[in-house]
Amino acid sequence: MNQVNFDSLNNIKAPEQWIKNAAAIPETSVRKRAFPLYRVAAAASIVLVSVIGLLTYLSFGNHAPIKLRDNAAGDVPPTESAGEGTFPDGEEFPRFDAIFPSFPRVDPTDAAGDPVIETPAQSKATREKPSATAPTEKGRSGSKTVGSTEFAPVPTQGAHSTHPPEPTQPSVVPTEPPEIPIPTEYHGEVVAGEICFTATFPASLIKEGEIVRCMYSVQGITSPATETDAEVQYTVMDNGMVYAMYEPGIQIVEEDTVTFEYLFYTDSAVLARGTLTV
Amino acid sequence: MADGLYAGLSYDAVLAKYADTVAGVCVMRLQNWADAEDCFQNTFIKLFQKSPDFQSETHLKAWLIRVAVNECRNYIAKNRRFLSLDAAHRSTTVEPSAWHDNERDISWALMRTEPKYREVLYLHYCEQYKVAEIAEILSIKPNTVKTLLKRGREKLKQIYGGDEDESSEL
Repeated sequence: MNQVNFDSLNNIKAPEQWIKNAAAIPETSVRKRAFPLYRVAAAASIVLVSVIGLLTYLSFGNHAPIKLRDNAAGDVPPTESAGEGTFPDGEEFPRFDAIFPSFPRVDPTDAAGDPVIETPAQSKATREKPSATAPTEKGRSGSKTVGSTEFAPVPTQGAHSTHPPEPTQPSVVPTEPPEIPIPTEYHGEVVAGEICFTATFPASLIKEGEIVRCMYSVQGITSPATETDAEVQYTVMDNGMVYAMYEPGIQIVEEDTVTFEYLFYTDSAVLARGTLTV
Repeated sequence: MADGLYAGLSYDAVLAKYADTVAGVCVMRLQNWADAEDCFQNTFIKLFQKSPDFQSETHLKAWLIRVAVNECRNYIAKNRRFLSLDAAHRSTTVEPSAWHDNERDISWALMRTEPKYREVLYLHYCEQYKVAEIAEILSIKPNTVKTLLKRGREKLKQIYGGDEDESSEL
């Protein structure tokens, strides 16, 4: 038999039982839904969650559960940015008494040591926004501008500052005698017959590694800065304050009564000022 | 489907007309009557549930064959471990018993070929489908169908001992 009979394959008949079972499919089986139930459930869930979220959002109204504090608010404490102290605009700088309450406060005195009464105009001027070049700005001396403030104004320079202040050269520091006495907040010391100028100011006023210089005047005559602006030894204390000390190397003669007015400053800001009467 | 008709035929009419075709595909693919019955039933269940729109009876027949082939493939994939043992056992005891009547019958030879050849040979020689139609039903390229047909014939020749004159049929 050399012929291959393919017709035999066509003779494969489906058993009658198969056909009976298949014929019963319409009675037992259910047509699939045109729109599956899980899709309806998914859509309903999305709508439900959206509605709940919207209602929750509307229920808050003007009382948001989370509110960011405005940095411009008056109760925001000074923050450090880029190593320099910043203060809110329009606010007074912290009083030295609040920072270092144990330090005795002394009223401003004139060149002769007499107390000077501050006028309202002067007081208002001292509350103006500080300037980086306050000691030399508009031809006024630094002692005039800062008045009775304990700390010299520091420019509010932060991350938003686009024009960093140009550092003031030490030679630009006023060399003229002060017309108005420098307010005293610090008092120098006489240690072993030598004069020592001291001051305490917040560490935020200076940058790390920045050189602090001292300038002083005797009897209302300011010594040239180029001769007296020696570097100041200072120590940063644990409470965030800096204790600065400068010895001008002046010997005290007992017959003399001399009043020294001194000023601690950096290239960019005046840190503190004080008087010493010997 | 419109009004329960499949290409103008009722479900019972489709079952009566194409039951043998679907059964042949399933038996030829699975070589097991019990397994073939499962795929046979699943094919008609899908026909009833999905109720696709058929353009003609040719389309309906092709759809049934394609669904049956896919059902068989899925069944083999799901029961691969068990089928491998069954196939080894079946190599010595071929069923159905009616096919033992004439071992020179093509069905007997087809059962000894690989499934991929068996499908193509069955569709081409039994269902009289052309190469392009087989390619469409099996979702493969026509050239692949031609290759499978050629190699399937060679397999049949080997099974038959190569002494048959198959030029007239193959």
